[in-house]
Parts: sequence; structure tokens; C-alpha cells
Amino acid sequence: MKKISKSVGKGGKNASEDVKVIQELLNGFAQMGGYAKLKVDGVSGKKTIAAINAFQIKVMGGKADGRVDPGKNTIKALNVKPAAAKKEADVKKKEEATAKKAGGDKKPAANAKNLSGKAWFSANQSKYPNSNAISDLDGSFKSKVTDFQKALKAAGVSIKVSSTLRNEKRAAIMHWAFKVAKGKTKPKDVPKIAGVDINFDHGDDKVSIAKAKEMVGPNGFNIKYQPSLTSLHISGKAIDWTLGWSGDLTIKNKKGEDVVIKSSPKDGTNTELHVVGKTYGVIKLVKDKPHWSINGK
Amino acid sequence: MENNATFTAGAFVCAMAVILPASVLAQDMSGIGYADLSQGVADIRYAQDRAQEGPVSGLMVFIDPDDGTVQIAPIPVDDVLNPALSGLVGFAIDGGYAALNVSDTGVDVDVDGDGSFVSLGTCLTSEGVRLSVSSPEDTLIWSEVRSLPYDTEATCTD
Repeated sequence: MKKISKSVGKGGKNASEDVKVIQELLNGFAQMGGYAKLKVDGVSGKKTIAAINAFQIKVMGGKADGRVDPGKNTIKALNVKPAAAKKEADVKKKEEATAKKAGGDKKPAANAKNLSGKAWFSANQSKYPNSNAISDLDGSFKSKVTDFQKALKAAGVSIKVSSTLRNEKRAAIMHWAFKVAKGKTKPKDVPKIAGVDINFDHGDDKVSIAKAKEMVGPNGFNIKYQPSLTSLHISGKAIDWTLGWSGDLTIKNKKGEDVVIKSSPKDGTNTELHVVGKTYGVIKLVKDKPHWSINGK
Repeated sequence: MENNATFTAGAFVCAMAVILPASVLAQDMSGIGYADLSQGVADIRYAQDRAQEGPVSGLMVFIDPDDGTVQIAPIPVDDVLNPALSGLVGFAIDGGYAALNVSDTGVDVDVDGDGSFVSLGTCLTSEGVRLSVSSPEDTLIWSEVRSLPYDTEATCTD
């Protein structure tokens, strides 16, 4: 086990030899941690501290303080090669062996950074977030929802928005990961996703499928059903929200007329409220409790 | 084929007919609901009253809308969801079910022990999973769409 004599990183003593030890150890986890390998120069700068932070969050799965103290958890973790890291190394070895067998100098199907799997998910999925902001909706639908929302608020309806615009790239990553995981699409046949650096082809279908399963599993997107490439949410023309009120509801329709709703249920499934929503161009999909859209689908 | 079955913790796949013995009899749809494990927790409700928590003990039945594969797991559900179940949406059936028949053609349940089975079905809308219960005459008795946190490729035909 490699040791340090004093603390390294944010607020640490940062003795040069200690910093070099940490930089070398961190470099062994660069792929898993999603950071670039460090120059082993014994200087604890921004990149070293950022790498410690990334290691503590992504590899250790804990909170980051940007510091490594002698004998504490981070130095212990840096000295342990986790199963996941070993698995990555095994995959790489296998790819290299496959390439060698196939033609000597044939390169693996992709560089390590963009290969699909748990490490890719951890490092990249947050780049493609979904939204629950009405401001992210598509232009004309946004104004319709905004007007309807104003009327709902003025009437005292409680509103909780759970989904508006779903990220097109995220949807595509999920779609293809699921297809590969289920064996429905050959990894080599996955088309390039514009603006996303990911390769589902590990050079061995079994490995590719295992890696895709990591991405769709509970520690990844946690998807059990085939995600779609297109939808009204993906085009910003749908909203999922939970609405509720008590007593009678008096709400203005688009014409500014008061509509009194006495009926139940006093939530987004109320058909009288659907009529009001329609005047604003926000149309209920009746079979789906929270879903309203530009065309009711 | 008749077979007494004991359901243990965790999920398993069943593709053959299983007839379970009657115990406490439930009545009509009051014994059926949904089990939504798509949001990281187990949300189990009765079909007839969304506000009412579902069976304290019983079974969850998950039918894959793609290939019809059936997974069955017990209620209550562990606090930490079984990874094989996390993300699924299916039916909750009261522990008082009279008989559950899982076959290649589908899943049928006789909740009130009168010998009449209702059929359970699952398909995907563009928003999530639609659960449906139909009578022996193929009349829709109940359906519910459980939204997922992602859009799905629709398989429902209507």
C-alpha cells in the first residue's frame, strides 16, 4: 500500500513527494472518475484537487472534500483496485486480445473514454438532463401552458410540474442502450448519436451487451421498457404536472370567463378542468393522469 | 396442470400454468391494484381507490409488454428494491387471491373464488405502462396508465 506522510489536496500540507504518490494513484482511476490523467509533478493544483473530488464522488460514491489524509478512507480507497476498475481492465485486455487475434495491429473498436458502460454513465449522463421547467417548452406550447398555469395559480390550484422537455440525446442514449442490452440491435449497428461521444461496440458482443446492461440497470438509467426516440416531451410539446384543489374551483378560461367546477375528483383528472385547459390549447390525455400536451396525445 | 406454489423473496420467471389454492377470498376488483416500482420506491394501490394503499400481503405480477414474460414477486416489498424488479410496473393482487393462472397465453386471476377468471394485460403507451383487467368476455373492467420517467415506444393498439 502506498502511503503519504501528510495531507494532500485542498488545505493540505502538500509535500511534493506525497502529492506525487496521490497523482500516480489518481491516474489509475482516471477513466472511472471521468477526469484526465494528471502530470505527476508533485504540485497540488486545481487539476489535482478536482481529480480528488471526482474520485471521492464517482469512485468512492461519497462526498468530496478535495483532500487526502494519511490513513483515512480516501488513501485507502486509492490503494484498492475496485471490482469495477478490474472489470474495466479485463474488458480492455479482452479487446486488445481480440484485436491482436483478428489482425495484429487492429485497434479496439473505440477509445476507452467513449465506450459504453457504468463508467460512461457516471461520467456523462448528467450532460444530458431532462427538464421540468415550463420555460424549456417549445415556443407556441410554452405560451399556452404559461397562460393556463397563470389561470390555475390565480384560481388557487396547487401545481407540481414533474416533466416538460425531455432531452433528445438522453432519450437516444437510453433507446440504443436498451436495444443493445436486449440483444435487439447489434452494437456495431447503433447509429452515431449527434453530439454524444459514445460507442456501444466493445469489439465483443457479449461484453457490449453486458456494458449496455450496466447502463440500463438500477445503477444506470434504471429502465425496464423500450425508450422512444421521439415523443411530444422530446419535442417540448407536453407537460406532466400534478394539480389539486379543495372546495369549488373558480377558474378563468382563455376568454376570461369564470368557470366554476364543483365536481370531483379535485385534481388533474377532472373532465371539467380538461375543457378549461382546451381553451388555452393545453389538452389532456385522459388515459394518463399527469399528461397534457399540444394535441392530447 | 395443478400445482401448489410457494413464493419466496425475489423475482422469478414463470411460463407454465400454476393454480394456487384458495385461502381468504377477496371480492371482485377490490383485490387487484397496481404495483409501481418505477420511481425507486414501491407504490402499491388498489384499483378501485387510488388513495387506498394496496394489499399488505400478496403478489405482484409483472407482464413484459414486449415478449409476455411474467415475473412474480411477493408483497410486502423490501425497502431496498430488488434490482430485478426496480423500474417495473405491474399488478398487485391481494393475498386472498383464489387462483392465479399463468400460461403461455397470458395471466388470469380468480380473485373472489367464484371460478370466474379475469385476464391481466400490459402494453406500452408513449408515456408509460398501461395495465388492464378484462372479463372472460373480453370486456375491459379496469385500466390504468402509470407514467414512467421516460417516453416509451407504444405497443398498445388503441
